Amino acid sequence: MFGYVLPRFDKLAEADAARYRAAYCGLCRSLKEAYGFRARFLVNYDMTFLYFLLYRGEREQAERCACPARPFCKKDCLPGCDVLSYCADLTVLLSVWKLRDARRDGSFFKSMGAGIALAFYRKAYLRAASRHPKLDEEIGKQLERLQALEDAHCSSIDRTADAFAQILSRCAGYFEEEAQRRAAGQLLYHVGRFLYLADALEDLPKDNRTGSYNPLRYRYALQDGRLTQADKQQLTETVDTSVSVAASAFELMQHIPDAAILSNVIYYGLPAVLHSVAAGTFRKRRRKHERSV
Amino acid sequence: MKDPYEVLGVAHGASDEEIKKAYRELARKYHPDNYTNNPLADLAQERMKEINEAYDMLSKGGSAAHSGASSRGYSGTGSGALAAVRSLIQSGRLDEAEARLDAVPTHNAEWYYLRGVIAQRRGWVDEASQNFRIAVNMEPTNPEYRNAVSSAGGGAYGYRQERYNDPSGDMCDLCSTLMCLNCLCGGCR
Repeated sequence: MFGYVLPRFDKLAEADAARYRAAYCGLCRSLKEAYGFRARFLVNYDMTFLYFLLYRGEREQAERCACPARPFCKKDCLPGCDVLSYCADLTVLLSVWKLRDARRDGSFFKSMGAGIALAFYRKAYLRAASRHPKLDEEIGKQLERLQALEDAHCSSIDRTADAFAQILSRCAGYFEEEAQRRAAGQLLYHVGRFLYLADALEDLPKDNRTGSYNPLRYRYALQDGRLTQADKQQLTETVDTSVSVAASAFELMQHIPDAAILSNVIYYGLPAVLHSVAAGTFRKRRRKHERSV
Repeated sequence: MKDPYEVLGVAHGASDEEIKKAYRELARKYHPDNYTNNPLADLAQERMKEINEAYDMLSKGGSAAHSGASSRGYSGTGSGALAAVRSLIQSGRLDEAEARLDAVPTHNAEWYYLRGVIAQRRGWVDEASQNFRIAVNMEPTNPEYRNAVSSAGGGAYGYRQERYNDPSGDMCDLCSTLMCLNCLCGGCR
């Protein structure tokens, strides 16, 4: 997935930070149990957030489990449960969504890579889709919608972000109670918008170079392949507003055992990520920098 | 009936001062202004009612001055077709409202305002503020449109203040966050 939904560990209590890590490892293990070893590569922070959003009940004790990335030590990881396996299913479905989008939209090598990855995860995808046929159908529908918008060079960032945001908001279908489902749906809708727009902003220079579709290219008048300072400011405010609407939805959710973690992500994590993406100091930049040093 | 102490999030036997403080905090959080044109406005209103009731039960005098109990309706100044659009929006039928609006031939300030409202209800922040701005430019004195422009900035309680008053909330900390995440993948914790 995208990996933009992060907490700020410096503002998180030690116990909560440990729990966050344990959930990440728990999700990784659930992926392996349900979909085999290769699915472990799909584990991501966005879906860890989903776990905390959906989980209700006691805060269970973490178990010790082996980590293939660190073969010589064991890590804390949350025991498997319904929510974790639901998150694992969604991780597969959403990753496939992202790969399909990349296969269609990316440069030659990128779309070839995405095609290979899709073949690699085909079995996992079929299993996940058979578990959640409605969600899978919805994802397919939204993906078609997005592709039609891309073909038309849609200049509305709201409409293009809507497709992915809709998909994410359907994940709230896990809740049976209506009020909770609505609140979680709205929260996830705006987190989905956030993800889509942050990703568009991050990819803008690259998309502009390769000529790939990026809604920002059509929404704003670029200068030298970049947003002007004023446009960037305006976009940041727009995404900030989405975070703020997500926050007001979050405040309406009840009985969340890990409210501290979720509020950390929403109130501190997302704004920090957004501003570093806008400043061009987020991940990809850093990695590239490291490579060039 | 829920336990009023639980609703306000205070311990049993909390002092009047503590109860009042908790009440004010919650009332600010669920104030209708934070949920303007938000599809969850009814949930927030319900919560507000619960909080008010709980506070009424706990404050001995019973003379609680409620804040933000009023729900905001549309002032509804429009002509026939636009009034119908307003009521469709209010009942949450956004697609129908949009279709009706598109069929209106003259695009006055109110037309743009209503387009903005529909976008805002959908969570389409960018289009909402574009339309609100056009409405204000066409009719700069209309208070409804001007409020809309300021409300388009979203209203989650405290979010902005917290974010912008936080001196450490810059990218340097994000780097340390990322380093922590690297530990997460790689470290033995």
